[in-house]
Amino acid sequence: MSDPLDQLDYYTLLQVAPDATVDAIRAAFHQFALRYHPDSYTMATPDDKARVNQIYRRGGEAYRVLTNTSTRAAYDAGLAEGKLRQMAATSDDAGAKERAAKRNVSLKARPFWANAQTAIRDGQWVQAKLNLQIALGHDPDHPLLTERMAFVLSQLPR
Amino acid sequence: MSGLVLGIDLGTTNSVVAVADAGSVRILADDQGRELLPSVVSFHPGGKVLVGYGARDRRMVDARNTFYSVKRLLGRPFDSDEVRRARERFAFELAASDNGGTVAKTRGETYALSEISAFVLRELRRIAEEATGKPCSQAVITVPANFGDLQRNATMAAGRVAGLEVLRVLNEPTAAALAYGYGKTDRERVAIFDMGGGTFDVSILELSGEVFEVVATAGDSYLGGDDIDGAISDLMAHDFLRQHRIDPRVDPEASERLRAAAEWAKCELTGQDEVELRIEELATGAGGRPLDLHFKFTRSALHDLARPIIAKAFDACEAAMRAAGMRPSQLDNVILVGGSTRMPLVRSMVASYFACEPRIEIDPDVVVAHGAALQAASLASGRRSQLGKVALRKVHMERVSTAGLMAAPGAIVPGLVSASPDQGYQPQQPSAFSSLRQPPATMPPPPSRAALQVRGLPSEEEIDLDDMEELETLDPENPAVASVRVQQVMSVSGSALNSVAVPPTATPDAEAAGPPPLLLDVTPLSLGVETVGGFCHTVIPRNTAMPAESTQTFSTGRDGQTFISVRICQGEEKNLESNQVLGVVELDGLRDAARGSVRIDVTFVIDADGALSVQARDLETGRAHAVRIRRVGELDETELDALRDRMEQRFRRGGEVAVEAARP
Repeated sequence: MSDPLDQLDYYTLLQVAPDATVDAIRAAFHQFALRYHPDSYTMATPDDKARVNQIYRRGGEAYRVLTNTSTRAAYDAGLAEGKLRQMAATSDDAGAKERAAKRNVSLKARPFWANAQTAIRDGQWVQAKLNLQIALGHDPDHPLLTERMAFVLSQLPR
Repeated sequence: MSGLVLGIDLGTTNSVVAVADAGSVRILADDQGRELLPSVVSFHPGGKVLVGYGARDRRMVDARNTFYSVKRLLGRPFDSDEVRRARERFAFELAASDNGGTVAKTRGETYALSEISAFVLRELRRIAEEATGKPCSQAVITVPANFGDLQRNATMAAGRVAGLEVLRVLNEPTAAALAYGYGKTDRERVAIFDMGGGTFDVSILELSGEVFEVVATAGDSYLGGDDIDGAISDLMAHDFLRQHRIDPRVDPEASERLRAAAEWAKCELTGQDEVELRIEELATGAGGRPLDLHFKFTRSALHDLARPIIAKAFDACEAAMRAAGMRPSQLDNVILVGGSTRMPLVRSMVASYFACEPRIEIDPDVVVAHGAALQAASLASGRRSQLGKVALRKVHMERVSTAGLMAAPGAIVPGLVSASPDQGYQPQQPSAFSSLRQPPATMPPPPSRAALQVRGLPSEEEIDLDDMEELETLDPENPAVASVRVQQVMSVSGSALNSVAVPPTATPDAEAAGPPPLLLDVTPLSLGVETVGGFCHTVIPRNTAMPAESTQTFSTGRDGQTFISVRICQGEEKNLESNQVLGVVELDGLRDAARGSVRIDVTFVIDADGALSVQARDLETGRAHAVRIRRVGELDETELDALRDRMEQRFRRGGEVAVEAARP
């Protein structure tokens, strides 16, 4: 049976909403840390210590990924495909891939893509959708834009 | 817990020891009332070892056998820049150990640098035991935030040799922030500007009552007051050279006297505008005629000399501010730590960079030990002793559409659980420390525009952490998709991880004697592994919250390969060699198989001390695999125990370590 920790996405782990601001995530991480920081368990059994360490490190990972705009965007994209955890090894690659993809977004599409990213970060799904539509108009079938569009559509009420 | 846990600031120039009890901190002084112990160890020709003031006086008499500024060299490989520079500048002899580390040589004997530092720690322990009348066997020792794994390891080794169990290696700026912010409840963003004798650190912290989070840290491991002293003594030496055509620095003792005079002049110029000094018989001229040095020095000349040195600190400040994503002017306070921040020039440069007057009401010499003592008491109290026995509850959670929530912003999100004081948890040690550190009984208010509606249900089951396997698994529906009702077990916050079961005893007015806040620190340097071509692949980036972990998969490159060895390093450069090479990670006894078919997951863990450990797992068999880190210059367990015994014998026989003997 797998570890319940592996069945939680980062947002759930930290108890924040998928559109939470960085400040909200920070506050949530502080609460998380107050519960699970290993320093609070110096007198615990070795098993408990090991477990709390594991839990805390996962929380730290979530915090790191979600407080960085580019890793968070990559994580959100992965999450939409059901990937609950972002491995450190791929986070760099994902960042690089995204930077490369961004370069490839055509000049005309770029401002709308930038607006869309801001809107996604702020949870303004309608804004995001409109901007992505225009971006896709300039740059049809762009993989990153298409992928992000699918994500945005999934966030919109039906 | 019996015995006291010491908070020790093991400084480049001076060291301080403190203890905390029920929130009040005592800086422990020696029997002459001195709080600072010079971090100097001198090996006397009679076989005695002098530590502290006595040893410091020997610097000018017996420079070759007197070790100071050892902290700059602790844990540095022999071929490192630090050691190379020290060999140019310092009179004592250094040599390479057989695993690439640095050892000290004096009077025909060889000492590990950790052992030299251990003399200082052992002496601090003696001072503490005398001052408190209690045995002291545990400590929190502070280190510069920019210390890497090798330096932290060497510091822990020094603690062990001194007979101290090191509960934590704590970053100095973080310790200072703890001393500054302890008992405050306001949210504050602060910078700790820590310029001591040898190293410079800057840390940006967010203080919020219960949690002190280091947002970013940066530093320069070769920048401090000593560099200013060095510049002044060079100036004096040039002056002397011009007058007498003799460079006094060729004689190590004369060089030491120059340095001591330089330091004196620097300190004097804090209070006055001009000093005049005279060093008698600094060198011998033609015909054996003794030559004196006369030197006049003004504050403005000092400032001209020191400005470019101090300016280097602001490069590190820039890096820290960038990592924190802030501007200097966004900070609420700047706290000065370290003796060098007494210089008026440092203060004015700090004030203009951060656009605010730095706080000066804290004694920069003892603030770090003060914070270390608070953290020591906090770690010793172990406020939660058990994870498994705490009652756990299932909480069901429901996601509703964002749009729905936004449409009715008033009606958002009840708190997670009406947390009733639960039966499960009893503080093990009802001390003054037991209250504040416990989490508030309810979750933090969810973000205002939450797309997450969390509903606490009266719990029917309470689950021990040990029973976590029995929890329901996550609904396969994609949890990120709104409007889909996802019923899932909140196995982290709600149940498996024992969140809500703590009685709501936290009272804000308990902070006077309450427990210190939780410290969340970050890694100062990126951890990397070697890749093809000698490049460095970052595994754990700097400024990551500690403890941190990262898993990398390694596979064999040849058929039948049974051994993998990967070099690891810390630093920010692309080339492995340009960073600090820590050593190698070795995987031995691999399955004999075709190349690429043996795949091992290696998990790098940086614990709360900032020290690295590794675990490995064979991906095919799922079994743990033996793995070890072989560090440059590392002392093994048996060596450490032997050194500790040697140290204890010396101190027990009393006479051999003579702190008393050389009092002025």
